[in-house]
Amino acid sequence: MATSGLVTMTPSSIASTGTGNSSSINTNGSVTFSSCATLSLNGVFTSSYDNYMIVGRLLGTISTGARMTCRLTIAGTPQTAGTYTSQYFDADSTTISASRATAIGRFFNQIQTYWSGASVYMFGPYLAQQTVWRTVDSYGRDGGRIIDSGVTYSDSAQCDGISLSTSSGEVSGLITVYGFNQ
Amino acid sequence: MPVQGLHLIKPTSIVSTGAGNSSSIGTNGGVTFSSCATLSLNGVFSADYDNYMIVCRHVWNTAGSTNLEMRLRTSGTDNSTASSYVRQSLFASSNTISSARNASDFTRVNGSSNAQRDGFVLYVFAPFLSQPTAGRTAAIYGEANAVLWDFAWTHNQSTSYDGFTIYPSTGSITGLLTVYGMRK
Repeated sequence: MATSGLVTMTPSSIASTGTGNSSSINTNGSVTFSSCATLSLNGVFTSSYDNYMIVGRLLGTISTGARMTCRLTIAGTPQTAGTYTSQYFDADSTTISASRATAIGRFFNQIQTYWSGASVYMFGPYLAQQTVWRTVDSYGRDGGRIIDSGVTYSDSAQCDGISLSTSSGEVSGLITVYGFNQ
Repeated sequence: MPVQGLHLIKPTSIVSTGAGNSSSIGTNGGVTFSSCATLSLNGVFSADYDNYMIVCRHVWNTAGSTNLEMRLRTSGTDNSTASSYVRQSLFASSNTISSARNASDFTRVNGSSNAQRDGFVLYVFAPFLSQPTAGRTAAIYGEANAVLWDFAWTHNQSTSYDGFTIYPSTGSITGLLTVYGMRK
């Protein structure tokens, strides 16, 4: 019997904010959410897995675009002991650019009034070492655009969850966390 | 009953080199390694799957940063045919973004640093088939800050490979590596 490569992680709890927001954990562990300014998934990282894939489909309320940033959490508390450093690149038609920002953990890079989607690969959040993650994004504005990012978090705390915040407006969609079996 | 789409693959054997190195295969197939100048996995590609996903967290064991390279191998021998691996890279660090194409006797899958941790996901297409192989990474490495360095690569030898070797350009790496087959 082959060992499954991906295991869906069911959050132990979730929390959300935003005008008229709602969020719920589905039977198999994915999270459906609507009109959220913030969304927290707790208890999704454990000692069973080192690395994770987080997949989201997203729809925002801001026509000019917004993004969701992430802080790692421990028992629901966002972690600020270390430094989040984000690097991204933006390929928009024939223009490509890059930038770096500190104190921000870019997660879902552009959310607009078109549906978008992203996969985030997270390496070692529950290990007592620094965490890194990498976002591969698809952004619907202007008929397709790539805004990928990567983040380093310098603290070595063992984190069991994520807290996502929008830069503007609210976000709806579905998010699922998978552990890479090892 | 849904059919599992992604299977964790257990190497038939592994080999590592480097001063004080260690490597081991976990119960389910994940490979934990420490202080490795080279790490080779054998028997991970087979006729059961065409395409694969390799996931690795790693850190370089020397101050600064280096390159993390890869060669395909079969029956325990790396393929190092000159210029057979051609890689297209996309590099983003602060406001600098650049691209390049290089032909070598190896391909590249990430940078590796000591200041922060590093990780990559690598898709490998058809390594076990007797046709050219292609790969694509999505990677993050730390250096002093976050750096993105992605690669799309081809390998022009129509050889059936059952494994691969990863190695830093210099020094040694520590981490965890897992190989998954995509059910067809």
